[in-house]
Amino acid sequence: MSQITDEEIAGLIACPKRIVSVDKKMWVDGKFTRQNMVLESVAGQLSFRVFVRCSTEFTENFSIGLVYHPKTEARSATLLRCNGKHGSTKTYPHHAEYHVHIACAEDLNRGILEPRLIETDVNYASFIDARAYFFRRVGIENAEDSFPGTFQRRFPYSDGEPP
Amino acid sequence: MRVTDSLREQFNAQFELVERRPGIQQVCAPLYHEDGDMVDLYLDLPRDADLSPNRLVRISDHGMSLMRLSYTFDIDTENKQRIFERILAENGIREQDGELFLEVPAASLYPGILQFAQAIAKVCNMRYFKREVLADLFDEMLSAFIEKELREFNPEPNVNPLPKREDLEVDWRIQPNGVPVYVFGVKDGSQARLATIACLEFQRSDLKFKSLAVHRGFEDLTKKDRSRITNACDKQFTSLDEFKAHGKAYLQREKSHF
Repeated sequence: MSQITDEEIAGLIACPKRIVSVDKKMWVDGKFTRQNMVLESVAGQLSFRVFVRCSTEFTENFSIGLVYHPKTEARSATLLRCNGKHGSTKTYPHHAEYHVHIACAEDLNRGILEPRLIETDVNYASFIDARAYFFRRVGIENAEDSFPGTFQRRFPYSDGEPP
Repeated sequence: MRVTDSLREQFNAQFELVERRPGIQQVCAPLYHEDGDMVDLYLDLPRDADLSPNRLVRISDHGMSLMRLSYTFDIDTENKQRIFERILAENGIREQDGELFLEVPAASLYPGILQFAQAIAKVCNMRYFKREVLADLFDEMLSAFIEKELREFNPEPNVNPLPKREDLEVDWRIQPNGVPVYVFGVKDGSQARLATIACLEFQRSDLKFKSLAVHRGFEDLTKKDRSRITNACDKQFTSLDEFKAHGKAYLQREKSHF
């Protein structure tokens, strides 16, 4: 992959996108269910793919990832991946929590295409929550069209009550 | 402390069993994938199991390895299936409904875990067989073939037929006769377009030449890219294998027609 900066990676992750195609539903493949999506940036220049995987044996063990496909190169890279609880990580040994993997520029520029930075301070506690979190984080604008009810509605409260 | 004692202490200290479900223990050990996630290893037995040395214990991944592999790679061709089965066979691993497992006597549990972890790593590394990874090898393989098999035609790499047009560099110049053959290695659409532009510019400049494109995968190009390069280029080989099989004969015909 040609040289990239961390700011560019953050921009690729967060830029507004829309779902171009998506498998109708999660389908069973051995011991996990899966669903794939194709995204493009709203500006129409950038192509991405999303993989969604969930273990059928341990439903807390899932992965939702954003893969960037540059148009000028054959190589692709996973920029962000939301994981469920699957056990510890090298950065956080014996730490079995929901976490997010993120690619960094130093790695990509060295040809390391695995997202090795790990964030544990994430705002989801289930697969459904993680999917909503993912859609927000990667800027998918038309997620509700394919996944109705993904984003929990805010109930109207009277003045003075917390939102 | 002696090194053996130090190792024994370290190995013991960094090992734990966590009950994931009744009768399924996750092995927490410092065995990690490249992204820092721990390798998924489970023992199918109760946490307080009392093991006689000969009791068979099942070490399993409960489907996690193929799930991880599927993020970026699918075993969806006969070749890939063959490679997968070979990895399993050579490492003594079995597969059932997407679950990889190994059954060992309790007395061999520790080496069994290490053997299984290595096998999982090999399965997960099948992603290196992705097309895009193989694409990186295309240039090397094309160069190796030209340098070895087409030496009689005096191949010359990285040639600029037009002065001051370094942007129109040709991968190889080959001389079967008095007219140079400019060879373009085409890995993707971007390179197909570059080759098309170069050929058209050379034609516009009235250069005496013939053009030859060797594709990594002609069918992978878009219809438009295929159409453009076909109209601009004199000769094409739709794959490296085709070029290896018929390229030399083509150049020898060019030589004999001169």
